Amino acid sequence: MWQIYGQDHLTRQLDAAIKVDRLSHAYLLVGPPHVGKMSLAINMAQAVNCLAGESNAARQPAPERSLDLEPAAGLFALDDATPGPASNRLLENSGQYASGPGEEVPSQSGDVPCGDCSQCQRVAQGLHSDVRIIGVGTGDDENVNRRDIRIEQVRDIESFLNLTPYEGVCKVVVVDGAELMNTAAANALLKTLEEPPGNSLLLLLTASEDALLPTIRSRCSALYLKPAAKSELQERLTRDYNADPELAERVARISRGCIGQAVNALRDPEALEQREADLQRLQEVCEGGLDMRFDYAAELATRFNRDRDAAKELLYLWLRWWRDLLLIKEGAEEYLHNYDHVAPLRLQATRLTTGQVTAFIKRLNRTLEALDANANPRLTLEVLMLGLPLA
Amino acid sequence: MSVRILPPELASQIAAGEVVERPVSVVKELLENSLDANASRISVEIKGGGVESIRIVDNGYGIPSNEVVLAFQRHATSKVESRNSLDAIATLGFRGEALPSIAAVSRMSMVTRFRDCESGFGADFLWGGLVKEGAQGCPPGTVVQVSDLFGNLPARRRFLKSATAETGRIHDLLARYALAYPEVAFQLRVGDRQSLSTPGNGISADAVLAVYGSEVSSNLLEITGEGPESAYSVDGFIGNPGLNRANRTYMTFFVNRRWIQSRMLTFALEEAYHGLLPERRYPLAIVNISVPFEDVDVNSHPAKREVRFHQDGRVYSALQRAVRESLVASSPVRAMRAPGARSYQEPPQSDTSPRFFTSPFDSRSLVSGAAPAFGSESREGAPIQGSGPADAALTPRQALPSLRVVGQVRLTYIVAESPDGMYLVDQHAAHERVLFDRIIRKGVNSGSQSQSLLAPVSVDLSPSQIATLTSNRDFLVEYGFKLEEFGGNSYLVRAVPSFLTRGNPAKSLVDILDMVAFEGAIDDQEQAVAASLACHAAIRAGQSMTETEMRALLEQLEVTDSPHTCPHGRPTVIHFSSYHMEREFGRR
Amino acid sequence: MKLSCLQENLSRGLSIVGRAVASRATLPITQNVLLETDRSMLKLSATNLEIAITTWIGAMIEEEGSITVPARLLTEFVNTLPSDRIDLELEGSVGAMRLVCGRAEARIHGASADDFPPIPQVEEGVSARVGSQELKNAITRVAFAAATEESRPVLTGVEAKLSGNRFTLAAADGFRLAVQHGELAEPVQDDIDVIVPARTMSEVSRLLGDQGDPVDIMMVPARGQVLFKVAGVEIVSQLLQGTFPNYDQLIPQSYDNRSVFDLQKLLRATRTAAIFARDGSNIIRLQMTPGEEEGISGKAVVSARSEEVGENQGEVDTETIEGGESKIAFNSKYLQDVLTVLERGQVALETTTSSSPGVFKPVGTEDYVHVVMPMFVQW
Repeated sequence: MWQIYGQDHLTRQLDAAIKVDRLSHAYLLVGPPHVGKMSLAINMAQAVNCLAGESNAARQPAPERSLDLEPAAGLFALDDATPGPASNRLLENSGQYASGPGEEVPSQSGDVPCGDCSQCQRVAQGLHSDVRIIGVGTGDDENVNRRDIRIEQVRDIESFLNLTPYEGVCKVVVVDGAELMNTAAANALLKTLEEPPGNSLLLLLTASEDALLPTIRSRCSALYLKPAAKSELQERLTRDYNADPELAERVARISRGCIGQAVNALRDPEALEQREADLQRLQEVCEGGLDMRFDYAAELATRFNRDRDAAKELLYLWLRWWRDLLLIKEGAEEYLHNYDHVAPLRLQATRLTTGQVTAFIKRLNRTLEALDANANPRLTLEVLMLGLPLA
Repeated sequence: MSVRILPPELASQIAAGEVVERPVSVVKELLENSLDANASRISVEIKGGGVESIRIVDNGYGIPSNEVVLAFQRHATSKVESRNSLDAIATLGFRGEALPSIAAVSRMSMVTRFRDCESGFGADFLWGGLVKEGAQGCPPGTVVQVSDLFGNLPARRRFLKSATAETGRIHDLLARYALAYPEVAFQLRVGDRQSLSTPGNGISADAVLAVYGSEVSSNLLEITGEGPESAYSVDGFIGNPGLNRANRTYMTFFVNRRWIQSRMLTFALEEAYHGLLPERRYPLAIVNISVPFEDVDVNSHPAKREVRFHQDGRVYSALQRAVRESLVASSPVRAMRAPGARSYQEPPQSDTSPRFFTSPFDSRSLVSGAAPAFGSESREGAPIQGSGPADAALTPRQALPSLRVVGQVRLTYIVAESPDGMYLVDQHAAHERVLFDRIIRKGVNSGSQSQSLLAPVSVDLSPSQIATLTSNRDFLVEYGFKLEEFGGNSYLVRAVPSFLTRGNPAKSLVDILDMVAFEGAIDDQEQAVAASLACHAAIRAGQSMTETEMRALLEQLEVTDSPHTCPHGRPTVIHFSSYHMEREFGRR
Repeated sequence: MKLSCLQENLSRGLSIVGRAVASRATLPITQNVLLETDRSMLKLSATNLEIAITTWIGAMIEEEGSITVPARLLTEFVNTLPSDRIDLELEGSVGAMRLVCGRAEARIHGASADDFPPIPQVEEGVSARVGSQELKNAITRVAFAAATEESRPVLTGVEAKLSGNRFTLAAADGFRLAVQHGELAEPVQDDIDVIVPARTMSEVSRLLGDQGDPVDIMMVPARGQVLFKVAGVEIVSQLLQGTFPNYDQLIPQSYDNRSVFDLQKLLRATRTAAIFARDGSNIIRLQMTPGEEEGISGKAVVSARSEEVGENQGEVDTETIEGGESKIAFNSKYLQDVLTVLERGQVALETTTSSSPGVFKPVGTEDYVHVVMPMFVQW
């Protein structure tokens, strides 16, 4: 069972490919943030290693852990018509276990990932030795501030892929934020994409397909994840997450169909409130005079000194807001991030020129860079506020 | 012996020599015609370095049928010009003047369709004589075909360089025009290979990208400047000082978008970079200067390459100001990238204070968007001007003192000390310098030393890589590569230079070809190849080194001819004098 | 889990499996060592996902169980303990282990054994048996020729071929090739051909030490793993994916000159020349000249020169020489490497022209061949 919702068009496609053993070596998972790319990637990693898959199981070792399966599974398998030496293996095949002893047909596609077998579980827990996830900053010291995926990380996965699978049957590499690979890293990855080692699956996750090298795009099969419809999302939130219907509605609205974002908001309703408050304040500052802006800069600087990430997160909120303004100016409202605030956004957009908006977005980016480079936060933020177009 | 009057054909052939010197002159004249005709798409195809054939196709407004033959008569220009005399000065050439000259020394044909005409007109010439003319169907625009150039002047052919060299010149010419005319889509095909293609979308940055590739274009600064006496304005791109070149061919000037050569402008540009570039390194720039047409005299050279300004001084200062302003605006970045570089390059008068230790937080640098961690400094007023006696004492060619290794930082820099303070050595740049010197000397002294491969490795090359390979093959072989064509785009690598035995030989070759292409200095190819080899073989940043290795590297660096810069002109060593360290820690 | 064991046994066991503890924390738990009771023994395992090592030490088991704890911490602690009895016990349900030895005591936080990557089990498949020292020598003579960079992954491995009662190990980087044949103590049922990472081979060779017992090798190629089992230690290695190049055609079948040297003499001259080659392009030149008449031995001139330092040349007498004069230049490292692993006896160098490969063979056996590509130099 795929543990992912609203992407039936993809799971159907993948099921079909798994059934005939025709999965591509590399997929590009495209969709907005929190839409479920990583969940799908994890699911795929499970699917190719799942013991319920017949072709997987045939090559699976005789893992000690599978010995504690219900004897019924083994007995059932003995009755199975599968000839040859493989039947010996099927004795311990948990595939039958997954599909339940009552079913007539042997385990087939549609059953993977089962989610229950040791392989699926280990993948889900992040323990599986043959699944590796890289992204900005993985494999690095935490205090090193990275902005891209570096060639060393790609080299690591190359040598990882060159070896045979350790406990599963297929090595899986997930590149989270594939567009953040720097040029050297992307070119190194190209080589792997061109000559993938046997038994490997590369999953590239990205929110902006266009930011990838065309050569990379052309070597992957693309899977486009769709944001769920608001009603669908709302229903799931109430059903699966026991959300209060009213809250579910609100969360579904601001999360723009991205389940991950919605669940985060549900789990942390305070964050939702905080966002509202932050956006409120942002609008006030945009309207307000220099006094208020300098106060805000001081406030932000204090916050920055206490909690860098929180303050930076706030600047990202600013960035998204101004991005939205730009989108409105360019007539692309359907991509708005803060769609729940579309009215004030529209109003503010009418008062600004496109030049002003892009200039301020540049300022915001420079501010973030400067802060990363340990500039004096207060000065930096005051300079930012000075550059904010007056209402 | 009697004096004879030269027959007219011969006279025209000799005269043609002034304009048509070599294939590239033909291309230039025809190209300018196309640009004058307002073409938005110009494609050039050459074979055999342009001697065998040159074909230029544009979508400009063409020539009216009844003027085609006229255009091939000497000084036909004036007749055309008289109709719209003011515009004609603004055009690049003198439409038609070059045509008879070219026709005189080639088999030439033109098919053209004037803007509003229903049908086109074609004319064929052989050694200047009209062979055939008549109406001919064709798309709007002009197609000119020049074949068998100098077929009637074998003596002149002998002065031509190899086809590769002539092709190089044509490529270079087209590249420069592509930069000056971003709104025109240029294409160059050499044989059946595309060697240049620009989008023609009017965006200069895209044209730069198409011509120079991303590495160069990301290191360019845009300049714009109207002088206060705004009749003179300057715009274009200049390289940041890190992007410097070993010769002057990378400075391209246009006056009113006509490519020209001017010692005065070259000098003005170099002056503007004064103190920012390593010794004997030159900036890369693509600059257009707009001046009123009446202030410039273009007729001083038959090929119109040299111009004369009526007010030299104003042009000079307009250029300098624009360049300098743009460099200053970006200077904090460079200060951080190579704070000490200059203390070697321009010792006595330069700002030698190590920026590492100046006030780290300065709001000015925030506004300019540069990483402020290492402080900003203004070029005009350095805070502690020339105050470090130890720094100031160093001159570019002074040898390094004997260094003691202290350790490695960030797996990239070697920290070393000597009695006069601390040294930070970029391990890659330093190794590059060592290898470069060794490669150059080997090439000169003892010929190739190459390690043959157990089994040859085949490698597929792109057309541009093949072009680089073809034109640099001798050097590559001299330095130790053994290569063989293997059909199609494939080559076999049979041996590699002795210092290049790490890594995949096929990949090494590809990397080096790409680096050479990027390096690209035409009259300096050999050094470009050597520098690329050195760069590829040198230890990379991020590799840990043992103390023995570091010591060996420093020892080797000390004995090189110019230990302070890598072959690309970047600094290898930064010095922090004892004096400065003491100052910064308040001990003085 | 509750047990007692001797400090020196635990220390030795940890040092054996310590070779497989991951140095980098891609999967953090791989920096741990797995302790498990196994009948009346304590089983220690570690894996870095490329190679897994398991060993057993004697223990008094009171209560069965398992845990994983940080390998480095445990090893360093145990090494400081006196040679005495150590009592080991799990504490609480959170996964901590208490160690008591004499008056020293420690509590080490660990993680559940279930989270540890399963140590691969190779229970069936093709199995073979080979003498320890035979295998060790073969590895020594071959593994060094493997590539150290990953630009061509299969070349970082050693190809192991088992067929009938013979085994063959081969390794090559782009410039040299080493092939060693040997006898299996027990023949294999099916022929098999896999690529083992050279690093694993070196580990195996290290663990073989002076071991006299034969090594059991088991492979399940479909699983991509190979098991080496000797005297209470099991090493399981992942294999490299891909196909090893067919090297038979790279070994020259004929020669124009065959010079036989006393290995030590040639090695000495080579090392001297290497000092001078070091600052140049690392080139050592060999010029072989037959004796002028019957009964006078031939000689080889071993020379190197560097523009900066100077030059050197030394002469070595040949034991026998076939064919006419011959000259060839080698990378000094490649030359030294092959001469070093051959250790003693006589070595034959077979050459054809100065641009065709040089072949080194120990005299008196056909089991080892080492091909080195020459350098093109101006003579």
